Amino acid sequence: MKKYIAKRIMLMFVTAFVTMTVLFVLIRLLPNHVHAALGGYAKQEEMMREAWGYNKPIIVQYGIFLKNVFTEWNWGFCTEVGTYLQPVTEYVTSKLPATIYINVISVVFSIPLGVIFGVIAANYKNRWQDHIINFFIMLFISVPSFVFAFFLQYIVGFKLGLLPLVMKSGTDYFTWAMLRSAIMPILAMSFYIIAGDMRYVRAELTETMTSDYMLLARTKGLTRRQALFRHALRNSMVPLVPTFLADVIYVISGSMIIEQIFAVPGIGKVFVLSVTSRDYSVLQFVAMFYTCIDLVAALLFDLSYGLIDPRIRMGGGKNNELS
Amino acid sequence: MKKTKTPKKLLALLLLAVMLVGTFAACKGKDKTDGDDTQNPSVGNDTEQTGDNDNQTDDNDTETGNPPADDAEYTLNLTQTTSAVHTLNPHEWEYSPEYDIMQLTQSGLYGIIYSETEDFAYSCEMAADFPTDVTSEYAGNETYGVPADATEGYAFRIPLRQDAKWEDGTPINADTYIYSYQQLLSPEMVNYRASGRYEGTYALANAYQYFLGGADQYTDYFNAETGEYAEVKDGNLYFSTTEPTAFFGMSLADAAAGDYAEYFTAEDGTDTLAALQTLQGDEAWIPVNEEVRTALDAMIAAVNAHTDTAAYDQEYLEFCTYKEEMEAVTWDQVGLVKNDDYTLTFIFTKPILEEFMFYFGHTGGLLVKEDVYEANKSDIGGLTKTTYGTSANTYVSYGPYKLTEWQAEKVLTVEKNDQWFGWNDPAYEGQYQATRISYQFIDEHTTEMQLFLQGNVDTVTLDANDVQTYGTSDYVVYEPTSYTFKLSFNTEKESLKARESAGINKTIITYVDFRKAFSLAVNRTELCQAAFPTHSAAYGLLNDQYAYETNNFSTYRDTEQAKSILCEVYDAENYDTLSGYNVKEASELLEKAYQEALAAGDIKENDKVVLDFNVSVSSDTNQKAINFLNDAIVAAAVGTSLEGRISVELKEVDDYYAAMKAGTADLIFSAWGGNEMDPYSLMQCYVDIVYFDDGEHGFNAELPLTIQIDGKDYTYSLYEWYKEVCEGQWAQAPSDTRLHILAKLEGGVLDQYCGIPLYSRREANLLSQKVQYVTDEFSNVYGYGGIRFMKFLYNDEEWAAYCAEQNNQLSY
Repeated sequence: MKKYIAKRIMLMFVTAFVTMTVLFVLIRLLPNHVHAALGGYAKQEEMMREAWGYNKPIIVQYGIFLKNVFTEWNWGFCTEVGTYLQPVTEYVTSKLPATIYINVISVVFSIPLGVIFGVIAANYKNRWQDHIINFFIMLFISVPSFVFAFFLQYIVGFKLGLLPLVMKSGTDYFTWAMLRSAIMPILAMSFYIIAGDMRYVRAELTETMTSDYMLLARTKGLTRRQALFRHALRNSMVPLVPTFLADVIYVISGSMIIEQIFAVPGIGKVFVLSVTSRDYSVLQFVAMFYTCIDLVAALLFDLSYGLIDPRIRMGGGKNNELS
Repeated sequence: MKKTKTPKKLLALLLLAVMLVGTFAACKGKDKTDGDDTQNPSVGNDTEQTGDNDNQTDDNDTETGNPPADDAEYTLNLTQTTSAVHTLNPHEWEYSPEYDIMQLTQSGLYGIIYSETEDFAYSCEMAADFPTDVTSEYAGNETYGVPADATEGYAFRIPLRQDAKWEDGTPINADTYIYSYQQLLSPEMVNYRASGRYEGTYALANAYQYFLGGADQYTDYFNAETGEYAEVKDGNLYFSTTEPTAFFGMSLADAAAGDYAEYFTAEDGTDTLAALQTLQGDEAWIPVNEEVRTALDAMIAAVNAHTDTAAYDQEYLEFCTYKEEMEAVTWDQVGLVKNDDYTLTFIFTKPILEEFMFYFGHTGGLLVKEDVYEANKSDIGGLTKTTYGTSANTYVSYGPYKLTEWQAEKVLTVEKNDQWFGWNDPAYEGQYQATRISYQFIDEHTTEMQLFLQGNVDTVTLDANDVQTYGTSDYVVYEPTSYTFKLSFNTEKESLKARESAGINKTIITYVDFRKAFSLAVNRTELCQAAFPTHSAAYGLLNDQYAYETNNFSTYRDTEQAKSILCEVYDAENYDTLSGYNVKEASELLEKAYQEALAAGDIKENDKVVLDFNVSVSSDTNQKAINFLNDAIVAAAVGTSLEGRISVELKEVDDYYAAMKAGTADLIFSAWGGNEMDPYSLMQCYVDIVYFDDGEHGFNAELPLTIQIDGKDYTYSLYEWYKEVCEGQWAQAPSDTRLHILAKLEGGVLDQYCGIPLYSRREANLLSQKVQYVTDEFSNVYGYGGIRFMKFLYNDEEWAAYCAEQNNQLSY
């Protein structure tokens, strides 16, 4: 297992490095840009470009970039996104708390609800309770979250005036005022997660409850509820835990549209902004940031199967073959 | 089993209730007057409202809009997009919102402001008095290069206020100016705004040499605009693979990595770029020797398909530069002289003869506080840069307001600066009534609009849909801009041909009659109504925001010369009835262009003309506009050979300007504006290939134009006429002559129909019921008076109460 993990981690680093190289080359092949300068500013632009190495051959630029990253953790600085000359690492890090705040609460709020309603739907399969839940599953999955966001903002925020239209400024995340201002974006993000989890739980649990060992449990004298919670739910969780893990990991990815609607100062919009503004350092770092999230997530998903279900063995070597 | 039934029902009911409550929590309702903090005008803002309203505004004040003499809070809530403000460093700012905020937190030497009795007024801000022209003192001064016979316009002495202070109370004096200008022009820092003081109207003597720091300058040997070679000494030829070349308009390295890779393989298979890079080594520039020449010739041969080598034996010069050794200049030689602690003399490279232009160039603040500026300096990529002005902690104010809060891309707040001299100066009485100005960074227009209608934002720009609802509101304020949007054509035959396919023709665009037909087919007024309801129809390259005479602010578009040239171009009998719309003539021209193209083999009888209109996003507005243009040209084609064979199609691209420059677009919208005080210099954008190539790709600015001046005919290219009227023999000519040239030049460009003016941008804003501008008449100089003269009709407490009364849904 340890050998397998080490191998996977090593492969992860190789993948990250290759991705970083490809990204760097592709980004630098785009039209050279420091500032969109016209008139007299073109002179300064040219001088800045020269000083900042944009005119050097790409391989030389990449060498400088690698040296800066690995010796100083210097990924460059903002020119068109964020505040001028701010280190990109600092800029991206400063955007994470708001995104994480909204998403963590959303996940914490959504997973229990998703599980509860999934269990209810499975328990009352094909009855009216199940139909109602299925209706909401369909609604929340098929309607994009930004539609709910606009709907909530207009009805709850504007028409009824119950909640602020936009997220509060500042970093006082543990205050009621901040939480209150974040309720609408949290709700808008939650619907999809709740529906997704409900659907998975319902499907897994429905299948588990028809298995032989559940019949045995019932014939032993357990009530339906006892059998459900003591046996079926636990076994159904095996394929579900990675789903929850995915929910948690992707909380730092942010949602561009939700953040834009509620003026959340998060990371969701940074990626697109860095492309449209041609801020190459920010684009490079954010692209790598998302790449790393995906790589770590993929690793954790794979490992989580083995940790949750001992029957699953990792590595595929001869020693792991079942006799 | 019975026992389980009741809990199941309960559970089911609970389930239903939870889901309904969770989804439609909003439906519960609430008393909207219970002091909900969302009604606070500074929602989303950490700043506490003091609520100190011992001196309430009385009813009379509220009705008349006079500023009440009390200490109530008056918050102005504004919005900006998230990418609008990156820095408040006066040496590095780039975008106008940054400048607008800096105008609140710092002061220029002078102001050009609203006046009740005049078109505008000049005001002393950081200056204690108006300047004295001291040119005669410096006439013949070799250090500053002032001509011996100069009598005015070169040198101005300015006394400074002695009560000006930074927000922390530190005095501001002549040394502050010296330090700030020195930093602005520092060769180590390469500040973005440095050119404002080393070139152009406000270039200080020797500032450019100081800025260059003695570094050698390399200039293209071949001038692509004039087609001429520089006159330099033998042997002064240099070359680089990494610097832009006149030939490609980009470096060889970029050319090889892009569309021109094929040119870098010599006839014998040698990689010429690699060969040149080897010769260049680590040097930025290398002298052109035999080896370099051989490699360049090999590449040029590939460019010319290895034919007739003798015909292009001088072409290598288009890859070369010549070196100018710049003399290092010390700060003492730069044209900014400290006379005493509170007196400065500015010495310029060129005379500033117009009073307005002098003041106009000194309305912005350039001061930086030395200790903070220095403390935030660091080496960034080989340049010394400072993060001054990138946060509330690294910025020091000295204007009417001080920066108190800045959460990047979320909120920025300025509040009254107690240290500002103006609060104790009667000259500023009744001005700057706002006690706090808060900017929220919001990208979503619907969010912004809802905040406005709740009373939490005090002005909002209307989009096309909003105009349908609020266009006639009493609270709408229209703000004309100088930007004229054109329908720009790609007229480069090769690139159009390259993108043609079987049965699809684009080359017909290269026929001027076709483009003129397009122009005549468009009813600009109806186009504006259909797609751009806030904008106004445009016929000329320069709209009515351009002043040719700044002292009395006479606009170019109102002159006889400007009117008559448009009548000539659009064949109109008089200016007042000019519409530029004539479908009949458009049809005739379409047929004529088609027959000519057919005869020349540029179109086939069954070809369809499909024109790609490149836009960055297929927004509702773009869709409407392009549909309108398509309908217009389709209607003009009725009854002609092109009937049913022509269409304009929207195509989304990342950067449509880049697409046009690369020749991969057929049509785009493009616009130029700004520099409203100098219509002559704006013509550069229309005749200098550096500027027009990403709009009117293929336009030939070398076309000759003959203009009769004082009974004599002069013939120059379009580009040369621009140079002549701005820098050449007519740069100082009487206004009538210059206007005549400007109008003829505008006509000369319009006659090519490579860019057809369609509309001038005019922004429509809704202004909150809380505030009003000092005047209803828009001025090119100060708008409606701005925040400086804005009147508050409600203080914060009254406004909150008023909004609550209106259920936080205000009617406009």
